[in-house]
Amino acid sequence: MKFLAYFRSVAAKFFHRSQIENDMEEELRSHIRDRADDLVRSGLPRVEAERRARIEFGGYQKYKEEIRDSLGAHFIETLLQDVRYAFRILRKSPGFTLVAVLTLALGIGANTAIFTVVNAVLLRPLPFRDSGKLCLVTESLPSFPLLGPSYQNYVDFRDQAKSFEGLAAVHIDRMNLTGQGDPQRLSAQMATASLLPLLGVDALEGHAFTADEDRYGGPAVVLLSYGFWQRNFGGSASVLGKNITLNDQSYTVTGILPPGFQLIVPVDVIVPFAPWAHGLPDDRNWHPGITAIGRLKAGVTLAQARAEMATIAQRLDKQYPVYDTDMGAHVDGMQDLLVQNVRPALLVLLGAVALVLLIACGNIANLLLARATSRQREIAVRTALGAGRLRIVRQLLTESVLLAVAGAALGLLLARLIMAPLLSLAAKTLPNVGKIGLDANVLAFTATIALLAGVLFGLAPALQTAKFDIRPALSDASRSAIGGSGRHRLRNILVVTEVALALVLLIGAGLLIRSFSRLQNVQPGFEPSHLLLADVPLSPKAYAQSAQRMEFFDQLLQRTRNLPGVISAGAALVLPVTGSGSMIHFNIEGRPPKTAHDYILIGYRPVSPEYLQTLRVPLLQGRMLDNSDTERGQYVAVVNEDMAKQYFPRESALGKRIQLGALPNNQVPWMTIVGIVGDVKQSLATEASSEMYIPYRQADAMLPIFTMSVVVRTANDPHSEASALRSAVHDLNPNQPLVNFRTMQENIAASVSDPRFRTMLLGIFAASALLLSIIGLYGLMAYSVAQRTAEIGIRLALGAQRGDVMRMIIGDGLKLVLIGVALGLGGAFALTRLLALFLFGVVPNDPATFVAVPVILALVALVACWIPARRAMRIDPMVALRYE
Amino acid sequence: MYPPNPFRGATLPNASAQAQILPGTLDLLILRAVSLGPLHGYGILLRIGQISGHALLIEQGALYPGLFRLVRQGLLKATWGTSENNRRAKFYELTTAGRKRLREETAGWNRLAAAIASALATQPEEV
Repeated sequence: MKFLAYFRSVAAKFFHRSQIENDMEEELRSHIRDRADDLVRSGLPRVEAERRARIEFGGYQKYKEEIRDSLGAHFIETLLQDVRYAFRILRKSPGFTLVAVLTLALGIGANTAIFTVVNAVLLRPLPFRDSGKLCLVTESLPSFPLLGPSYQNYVDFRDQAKSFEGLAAVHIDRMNLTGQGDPQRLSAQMATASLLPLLGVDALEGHAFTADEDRYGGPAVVLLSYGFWQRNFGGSASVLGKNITLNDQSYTVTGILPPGFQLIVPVDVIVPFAPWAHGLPDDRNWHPGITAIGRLKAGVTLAQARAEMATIAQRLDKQYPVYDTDMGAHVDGMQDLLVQNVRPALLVLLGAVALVLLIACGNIANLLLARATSRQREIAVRTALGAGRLRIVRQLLTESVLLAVAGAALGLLLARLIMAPLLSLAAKTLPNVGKIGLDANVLAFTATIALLAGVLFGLAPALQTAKFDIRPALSDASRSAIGGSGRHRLRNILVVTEVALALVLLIGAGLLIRSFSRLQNVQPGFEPSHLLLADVPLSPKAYAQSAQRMEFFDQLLQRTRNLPGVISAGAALVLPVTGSGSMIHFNIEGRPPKTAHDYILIGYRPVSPEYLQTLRVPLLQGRMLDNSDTERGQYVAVVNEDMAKQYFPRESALGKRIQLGALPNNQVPWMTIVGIVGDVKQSLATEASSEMYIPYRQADAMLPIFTMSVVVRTANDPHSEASALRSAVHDLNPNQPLVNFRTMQENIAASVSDPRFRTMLLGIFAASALLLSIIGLYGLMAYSVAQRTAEIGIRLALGAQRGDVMRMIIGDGLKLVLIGVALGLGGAFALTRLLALFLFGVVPNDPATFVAVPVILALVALVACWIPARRAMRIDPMVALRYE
Repeated sequence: MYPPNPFRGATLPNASAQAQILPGTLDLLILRAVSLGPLHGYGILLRIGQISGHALLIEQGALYPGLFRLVRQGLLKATWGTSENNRRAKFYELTTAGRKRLREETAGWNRLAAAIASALATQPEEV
């Protein structure tokens, strides 16, 4: 209502200005005329009387202006007054202001930084037209909860589903660019012609794919990303119609994508989907990494689309009983699915950082309460001069909001500074959803939390302060009686709450740290030190023949072994401890599966003969692979212990024969198991699963291999061999890129980057919470000792021992800490369940953490109480009594 | 002689015997003056001079921002009428809220006066 009145008066000010001005003018003039008349009546000449009347009236224009102000801008006027006053007050106590603003800046800055990430990853819609309607269509198998559809199923989904405006497909891959200086490895995507129109993206220059271009045997065309176009062609439009060489095939540039375009990952080039899909086996169980993107029709809900896809999946299940058994088809919002892995961690971190801000607010509220004592008199005088209680509260709140705004401004600066280290820590933890940075959402968030924080930490002290009875405040004698129990209780409650919140965060961080250290102590099953890794992607065009590929890898490994400082060298299709791998169906001789439920899926690892020795995986039975295991010899396999135990539990696996493919097939060679090796972890956090190692020459004869990762065991620092390895590749083929150099230890560290990210952040937040709450406790104890100087003096004068005094003060402090710890333990019991998803080898209510963390907290708290207690102990009773 | 000047201009000398008006108290004086019957601006000025024994010092114009503010706050009601010398003039009278405010402010003022008096009576050694 007040606001309505305010707006009415503002409106009136504009629309009825002349009327009001005229009235005002008339009123003031008639005043001066009346006065002049009186003066004339008392005998003054008319001219002199009018002059004197005007003088007595004072600044005519000034008063008119004041009247206008009081008519129009009452609310803003008062606010400005309050702000000016608050500025003066805060400037008068720079120490308090500095501490409060810095504390807030840390709290708000950390919140802003985390929210910036949450905003970019979870909240901001994907940069496509009406992106809320975009969905991903996925499949599930009994052994796999989620995977991209097989090509054949995708085609059936596309043709049968009525829920979508369209269903497009994209395959994320890499391609070699040659013919432009050094060979480059590009991020490539194979996209259907329908993809870009479905996303609502149009080519910036040239045109997107036509249906005629997206077919097998169509023209080889390519779209360039804006960034790639700028980097490699300087943004010249003349590149349109020119050819570039990708995987040794010539592609004509037909279009440039708009700046900032990325789909799931950043992309350099997009080529048509159909030619790639043509090379796929006719196998509904072959999941080559297709992302199927649909756009819901207007009025169709996600639930309806899910129901329809489930029906289609059932139909395909019946139609293709061998391959699509128990296949499920799923529809999820595109953004939901892309961020589902990171969402829980980000929300936990946002919650944690909010708790830190709460603790910071608690500290500032405590500071304000302490200040309230010294400001009683000022407040009392203002009350006496006619300021109502609300008016005082409003003034005090203006002060705290001003503090919060200053804290927020500094916090924004801080957030900008910590974004870069934060993002580099996050590394690959965050999905590629676009630029992460400050935007309007973030600014609004920061402004909101600043206002909330200002009111939160300012309200209770303001209410307390404004509640005083003014008379005792003005008569100074009763100083020590003021600040009575109410305010003291409030300060105690604040500190208890801070301790409780800090304990919750500390226990959470403790659990994550214990998990992470367990994760780091996991034995990967081989010797990870002194191993250099690099990927060698052969182009399918230049190395179309199996003999060419195998010749290249054989020669490369041979040359590498001969390099000085190299102990051994091998190569594998998939390296361990990356969290990913390729699985394949196989069957065991004499045990054909009776139903589709008996199909066996295990890890498929084509490797060079020396690979297992290079990793130093222990041989348990039989023999390792060797150079005689070629496509011309007997087909063999080495399996890991898990596979031997799981599929041959009561007999030796040695000598048994297995075959690729879910069902026995005379066309496919049988492989004899010749050795059993130790388990190797594919990811530190999960148990090793069944794996088979196949000699790469034999594997390539069954399924062509184009990309291998080289593993080199070195005598010295692995990085020092990188250039020698590069020139070995260059000598064999100058157009062959060698990418992604890293050591095995870096590889392992990268595989735990997610847990490292959240552990470090939660650890930092918990440490800040501990620090803030301890500062709060210390402040309270120090203040209370100062307040009780006289009382302590009397106790000492009456014969209390100094040790008693110290015990009393420490006891008071510890009482608060223990209450806080009890509450915090309760909170932690309730909340650590949220962390269950992130724990490894530790239960959410891990007894060790729940005992150790409170003990550590109590010890630190003891120190915080001990310092003021020592000061209390040293009080000189004579000085203390005179002091009052 | 001039008629009694309730608020001799601040520019005039010899202001020593007069009290500078405390901020916030002008409103109280206006409310009090108007409580005795509807008045126009100049009349309020005369009335304040009369009831304060000409002991207060303000510029005459300072009255008007206060009047407008009180009207805006709903404590005074203003109506245009005709003055005793037949001129168009704006008359102010108390509203119910204004009457209530006057009572509260009077009580508050009395409290303050007592408090200030007690504060001023405090001896230096007590501080």
